[in-house]
Amino acid sequence: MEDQLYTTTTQCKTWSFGPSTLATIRANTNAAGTRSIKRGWKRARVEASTANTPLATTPIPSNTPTPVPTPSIDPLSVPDPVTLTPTEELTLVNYYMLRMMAMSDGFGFPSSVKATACVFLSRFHLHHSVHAYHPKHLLTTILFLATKTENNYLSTAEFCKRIPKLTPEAILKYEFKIAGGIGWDFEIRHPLRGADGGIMELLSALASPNGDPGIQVLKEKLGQDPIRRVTNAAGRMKAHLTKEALVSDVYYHYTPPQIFLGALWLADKELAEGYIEWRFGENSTMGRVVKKKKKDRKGKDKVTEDDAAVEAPKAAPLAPKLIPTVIACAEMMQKAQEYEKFTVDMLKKIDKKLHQCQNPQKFLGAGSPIGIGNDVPKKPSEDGPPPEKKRKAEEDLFGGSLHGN
Amino acid sequence: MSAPTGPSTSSTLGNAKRTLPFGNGNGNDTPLLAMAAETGDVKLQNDDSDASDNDDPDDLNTRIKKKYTKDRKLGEGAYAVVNLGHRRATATESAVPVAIKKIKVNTEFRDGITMDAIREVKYLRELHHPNIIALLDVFSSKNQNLCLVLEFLDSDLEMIIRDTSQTLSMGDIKSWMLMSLRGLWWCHKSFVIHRDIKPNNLLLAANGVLKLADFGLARSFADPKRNMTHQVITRWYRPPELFYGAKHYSSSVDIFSLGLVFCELMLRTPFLAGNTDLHQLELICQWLGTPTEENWPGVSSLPGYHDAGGAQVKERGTDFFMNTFIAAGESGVELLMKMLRLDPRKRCTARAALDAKWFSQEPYPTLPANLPKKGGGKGIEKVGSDLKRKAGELFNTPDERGKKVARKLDFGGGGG
Repeated sequence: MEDQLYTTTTQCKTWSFGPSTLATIRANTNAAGTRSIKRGWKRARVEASTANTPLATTPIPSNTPTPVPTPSIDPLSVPDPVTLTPTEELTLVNYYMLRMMAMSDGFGFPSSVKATACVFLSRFHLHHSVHAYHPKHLLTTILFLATKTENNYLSTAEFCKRIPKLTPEAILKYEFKIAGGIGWDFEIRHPLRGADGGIMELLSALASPNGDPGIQVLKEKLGQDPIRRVTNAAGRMKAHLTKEALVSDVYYHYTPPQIFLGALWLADKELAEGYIEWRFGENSTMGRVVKKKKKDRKGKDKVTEDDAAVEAPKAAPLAPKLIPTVIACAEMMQKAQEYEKFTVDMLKKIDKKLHQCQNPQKFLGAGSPIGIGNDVPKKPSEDGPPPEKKRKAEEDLFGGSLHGN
Repeated sequence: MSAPTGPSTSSTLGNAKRTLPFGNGNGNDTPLLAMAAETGDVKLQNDDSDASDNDDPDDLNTRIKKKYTKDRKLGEGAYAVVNLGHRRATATESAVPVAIKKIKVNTEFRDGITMDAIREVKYLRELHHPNIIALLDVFSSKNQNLCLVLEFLDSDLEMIIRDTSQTLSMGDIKSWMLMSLRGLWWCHKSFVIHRDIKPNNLLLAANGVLKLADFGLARSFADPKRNMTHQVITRWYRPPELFYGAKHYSSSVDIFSLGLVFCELMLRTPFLAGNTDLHQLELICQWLGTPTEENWPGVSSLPGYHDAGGAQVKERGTDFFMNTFIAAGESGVELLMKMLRLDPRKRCTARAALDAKWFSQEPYPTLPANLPKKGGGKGIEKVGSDLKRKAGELFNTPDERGKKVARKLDFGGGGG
């Protein structure tokens, strides 16, 4: 299943890592981001202490949610802000990924666009710290780029019609940065198509009156209405593939077919196990379909044939090796469900930390904002709404509202 | 299919020649990671001036840009400027000539990176094959123009075909067909349809090796039920199903185009050179046969199908092809006929074509190094102009471009 062709893809060559390597990359990116914040603060501090104007006259936005420094404080004595940890960075990125998924669904884009956009976001932040690139400034650009790379182009004009206050310039501003930041690797291999194929294969085998012995065994396991059971599981699997598979790190660690099976495992463990046994088990009758084909020519799609042809000469069944991998992949996806449970308070805390890091001028009275996006004038609504609008504040906390999509 | 992939495979396949901005995904790529981390540093040092222009992707971009020199312009068109360039010599490698294709900001397309560029980059980043042009690097210029650094190739098959002072032997033709089919096989195996196969997109390296170029119209195989546009492939090489407005088609469109290139190599002039789309379809009907329900079941239900009226020509058989393309011999004609079948489902695949008897019979395919060449200055200029053309165009002059192109891509939902 892990075919030769996959090993030639940029996804495999450039964007697959072992867990420890991935953690190291993230730690390095985080360290670079942290250093950049420190440097920005250092500069701001120098500016503040050399500025002629007394600190007290520095205009400080009255509605800022951050503590207002008192004029008596010497800028040199203000400590450096606490920067985000790699985990916090990841949490923030994943939160925005969920936002982007909602945005994509609002547009009614196909899952391939949504999934590609999510992978772009994740890959970009693998090498670019949120300290310098707040994801909230990148979402529309990434989604727009994904519509182009997935052959589902929607003009910036259309984007702007659907998202209030968005301008084409804002979408395009960081397009080159994103494209370069993901190494121009636009082709993403998703498990979605393989998953569709697998389910089709399973359904047609189950529906076939004279299926091979393996499918009969599987059919019995699946209870009264096997077709229905598969269809229901497929629905849940698709949901996992368009959410947990993207929010978790499985794209970095597993091949698309492994992710498909992992998602099927989450959706219906017994079904996934039975399917793997049928396709790759010791007594797999699928593995010998090449010969069988001569006898019954119907019902098998092309993919099956090719796979079977590859499997046929192999002596050892794949299932015993495959199952632990699939379980590990499924577990990794399941763990990602925690991202949905993150409380707004927690995210708010992270965002507040980041805000402080990126805006030394608000604490020192001099210096300039750090990172992208801060060069555009902020809309007042983003800078801490009054407490009575708390509910709305939660929704607006991380950028513009997506209502109306 | 055991453990997560990556480390084990990349050692064999992580081709050192390609530039991977973030390392190879090996477990031990510490120096590269350190480099990535450093870029973060560089960024913030500079951001007093303008935070948006001095961050890592740009810095990485600058590093890539600095690897190349720009020597002189090879050609300029509405779509792109092509410069001859060199990859600077390093301690270990000497300077290598490259073609730098700078995509101009398109006046019609105001939405950032154009679709042609997106496609070309997307597919060339993935397709690595001796018979497919290599994309060495991508960077953006100061003015946010996209620059593709491509393998430098001196000439193209069209120049060879047009240069009537040269005689092309059947072994030569066999060799070019073989190399084209190999490149095409790899595209199709990777689920990519080229959609613009024609002689001037088949480029020739100085050592005679042929390479497929210009992936500006390429696309992946579509998901079932998603529509595809039929406005692709330069008219003279376009298969009948596209004239009938088929919304679902396959890699067999490329096979048909290459079949016509095969004819052209023998005739030394385009076999079917229609003046309009309608005329082109007439030529197909006249020379290859009229598509009917009999020779192509289902053809009449294609959206643009129309009964051409007039005399129905039966799909041409061996006799016709043997008369017209006798030089190819029996096995050559057999292959040609399989490539030019009216019904796309009956056309052979690239893989099957490679298995054709023709290739293993005498005269054997000429070794690339011994193939006729059209080197020298003129060749370079011509390839420069090939690279800068918009995909799907035959001519560079603005007048002709308007009329004869196959390019009105429908980007709307599900198209393309």
